[in-house]
Amino acid sequence: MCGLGILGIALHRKRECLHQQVFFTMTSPQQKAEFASPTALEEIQSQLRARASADVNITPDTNITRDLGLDSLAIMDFIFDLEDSFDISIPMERIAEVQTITDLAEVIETLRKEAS
Amino acid sequence: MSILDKFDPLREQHKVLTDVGRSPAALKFDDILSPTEAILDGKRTILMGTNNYLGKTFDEASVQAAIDALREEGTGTTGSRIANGSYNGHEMLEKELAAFYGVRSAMLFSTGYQANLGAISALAGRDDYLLIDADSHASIYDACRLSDAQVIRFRHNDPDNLDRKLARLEGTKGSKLIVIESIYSMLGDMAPIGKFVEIKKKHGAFLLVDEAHSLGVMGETGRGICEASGVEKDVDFITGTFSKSIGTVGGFLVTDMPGLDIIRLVSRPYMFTASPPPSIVASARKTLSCIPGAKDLRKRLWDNAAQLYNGLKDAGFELGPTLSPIVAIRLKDAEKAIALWNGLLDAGVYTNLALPPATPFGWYLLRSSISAAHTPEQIAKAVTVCKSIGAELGLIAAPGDADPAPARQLNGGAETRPCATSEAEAAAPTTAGAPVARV
Repeated sequence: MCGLGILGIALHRKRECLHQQVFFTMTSPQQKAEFASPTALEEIQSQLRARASADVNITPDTNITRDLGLDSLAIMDFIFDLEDSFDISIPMERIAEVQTITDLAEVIETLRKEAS
Repeated sequence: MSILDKFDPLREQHKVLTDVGRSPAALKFDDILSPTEAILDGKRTILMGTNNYLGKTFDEASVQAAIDALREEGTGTTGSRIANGSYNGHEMLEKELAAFYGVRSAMLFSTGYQANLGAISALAGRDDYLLIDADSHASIYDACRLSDAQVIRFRHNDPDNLDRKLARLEGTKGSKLIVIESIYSMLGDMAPIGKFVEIKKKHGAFLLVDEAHSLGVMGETGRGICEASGVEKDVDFITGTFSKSIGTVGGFLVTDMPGLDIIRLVSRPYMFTASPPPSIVASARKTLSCIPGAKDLRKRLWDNAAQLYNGLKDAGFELGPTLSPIVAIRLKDAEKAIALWNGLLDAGVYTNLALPPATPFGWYLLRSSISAAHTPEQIAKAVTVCKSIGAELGLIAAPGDADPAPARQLNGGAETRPCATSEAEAAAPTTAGAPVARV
């Protein structure tokens, strides 16, 4: 499973594998090109570190609404920033099913793929 | 285990309010004396939070029209217009609404909430896109849930953000319906409607404007922000309510687009609820007929709004960005907001206490809605009381002080948690990006 490209991996839910894959196992030229720009997972974690308090441990399994101490307004603002970062629009029904950072990364990667 | 147990966290949060005073959701007025006064806890109280912009709730002609209709047509219609047929008053009011707006068609709904729910959910179907302002009223968010369209939010009052989102939809099938409000109900800020119209035209989208808080309030003849901004011909749909300046209850959708009647056969909130009762329709018709000529009332309304807005601003309170008949004091501190609201009630001034997440930026708002029926003396009293309690709480400088005083200790210093007012928020706490439902 860990040999899959990032978009393929993003559709799987094996968290540890995803984490490893995103940061360490990119191989093909296409994957290298994707690696040059921030992945959804990296960007989400980077933006959340700037928003959440310093003592919050942010992992791919972090629950966005429950674990970060952010209210729904802060999360909405965070989503708006992500949309601009990736030049995508995330429909509300896609956001509704998101719980963890990995869930959100999967939605973003899927939307990027659909847009390209 | 009770099915209500899941609301325990919300119950606890609400208890923070009731432990220190009244519940904003459970006030009971013993008697309503006029559009601007009521008896609360046995005390004469100035009503500063009723959305009764033109003070029409006791209009003699409208009351008489309602009484006549009650006598002639009874207390209710006992069913929907689709199942039970229309009364003459329903069709007359629709014709009068269309004439008032200078458009082809109008559709009545039983409430303003249902007008947005029924109009938006029916207009935007599968393969279509709804683009809504992030600060939209709960009725717009709920319409999105009822619609089969894809829903995309844009930043509040940000036409550039909308522009980018529409650009990303270039080449997609389906209609794009933009939904905005005229005056936003919490802060009283207004949509930059001219810019939204430009964006709408650039992308070939449709535009719906909810004129709930601007009907009777803005524009030469009271048609609202679209009239005041000279963009009516470029706005495709307008929704509105009779529960504010019209002083009764009910809602509507108007458009100049041919073929609106088909919506009557697809809009569930229109089809599956009882139609407005004859007395309601009669008073709405009578009051609506006064709106174009109510220029003096509009002037008084805006003069009154300016007196309150400037009085509070000069005292040092942080307010919404724009002068409008909705004047909201912005506070960061829950305890002080609750104390100010209770203090005002104790002094005989009723305002609305609005709490996160129903408010922008997590602010606590003391929201007032001004009426043309307020007297300058009533407004002066409200300002005086706000200044006095605000200074006592350290929210503004006391007379003679350079800086706000340190806050007095409230609630025994107990730490409080902001109160969620949305059951949806409490019921679905683990869903990312839950809609911000305005009250």
